Amino acid sequence: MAEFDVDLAAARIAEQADRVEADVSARLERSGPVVGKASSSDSSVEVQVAPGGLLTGVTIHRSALRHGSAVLADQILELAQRATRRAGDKMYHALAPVVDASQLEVLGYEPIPDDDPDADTYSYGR
Amino acid sequence: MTEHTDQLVRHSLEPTNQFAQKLRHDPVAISGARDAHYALQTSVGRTRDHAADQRVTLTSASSGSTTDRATATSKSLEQEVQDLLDESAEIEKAVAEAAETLHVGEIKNDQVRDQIIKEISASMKALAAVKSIQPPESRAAASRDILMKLQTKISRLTGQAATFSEQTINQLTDIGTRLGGGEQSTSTSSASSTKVGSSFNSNSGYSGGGDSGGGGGGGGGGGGGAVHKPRLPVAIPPQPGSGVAINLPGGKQVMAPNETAAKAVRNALSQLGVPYVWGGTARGVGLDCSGLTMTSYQDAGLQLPRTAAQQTVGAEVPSIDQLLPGDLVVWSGHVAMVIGDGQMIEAGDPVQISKIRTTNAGQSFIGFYRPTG
Repeated sequence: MAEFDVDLAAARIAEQADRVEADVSARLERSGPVVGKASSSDSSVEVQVAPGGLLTGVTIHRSALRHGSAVLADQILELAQRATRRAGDKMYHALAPVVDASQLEVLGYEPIPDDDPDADTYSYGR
Repeated sequence: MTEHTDQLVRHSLEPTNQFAQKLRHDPVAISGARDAHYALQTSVGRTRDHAADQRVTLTSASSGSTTDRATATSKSLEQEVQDLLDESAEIEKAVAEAAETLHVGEIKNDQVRDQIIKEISASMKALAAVKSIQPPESRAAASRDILMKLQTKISRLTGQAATFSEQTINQLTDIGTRLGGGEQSTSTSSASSTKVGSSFNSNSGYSGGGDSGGGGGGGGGGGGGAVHKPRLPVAIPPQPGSGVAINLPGGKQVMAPNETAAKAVRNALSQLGVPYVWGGTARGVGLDCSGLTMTSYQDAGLQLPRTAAQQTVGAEVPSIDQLLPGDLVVWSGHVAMVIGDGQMIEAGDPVQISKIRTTNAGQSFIGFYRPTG
């Protein structure tokens, strides 16, 4: 058996990772940063998150305050979850060609089926 | 990045690399040894055929008691050469088996290593991809998830590699033990070798012998040199012809649970001092561990399977303090017979008495069994 070459293995892995990094950043540069957005049916509350669920923006119109703080809090929570799923869906489609499906799963990047109520109907290039 | 990857790869592959070192061998050397062994076997085989031819020629060319003696000596020599060939075949088989086991172990280890590399590579790609996520604060959680998952996978894979490595080494130990026999790995036969009188070889007086020559060496005559202690049967106390009583060499009398077991123990005791021969079932000549137990029970009227691990028959004896004379102590590749008084008899080299134990060089203990149920 030929001696196993750790250096070569490490170099190969690093090189592949570098290529993925370049590829992904080029893709995202074209499409702009990936965000997940969701808004209430009357558009009085809008939430924006980064992939993974970090809140990056919340917009509350005056009309949304009518229902009271508890309703508003629930709404924000629900919208944030939906936005997170949408961001995950976008990341899934952006990374699937270069990253293993099992890794995407670890990151929580999963595609949203078309018939899912959370499906993003407007953005994502369709 | 590159530097981190480098370290990660090194650390993650360390265990499999160590296993690989353990299993490392040179296939060329092994096949070389096998070929050389084969060549030796062929030439020994030719010697035997040649000796047989000469014996036939001798017999046809002359007669008388000297010729008879010479013929007998030659026959016995031929038999020894045949035994050597048989033994040689066993060694060859074991070498092939060991090489195969090592090879399988290596392949399994390599597979695990490949898997680890694949996991690292996939994780590194994911980490690289995650770098493009905005804002930067949202990357930390993602990276942590990837790395934690990777860690779990690598430790599971390393565990697998450790199991494979251990299995391989156990198998090799088994092969080695089987070949070496019992505990000591000694050369087998040696005892009872045919002595050729010097005259037989030197005065090549028979006709048609052709290129007989050879031999002629020292006829073992007395003068000086190393003291040779002959291997003789070991004296044991006289035994009752029937009944369940057994007289142990230490002077104690013990009782077997039934007459078959008692006979088996007495039969086994009569083999004390017999040399170990792998695969041997010739009482008084050469026995291996299971050969001793099998033939001892056979002469007592009970047939046992041939190999040690198969001799788990009759009833299982649950604990060491319930053992009775005639019970068998069985390992994955060894077997011994309890004779009573905390002792057992086993075919090491030679057949000997030892204290009852449950460990045996690298083998797994299977249990205590009473063949008579």
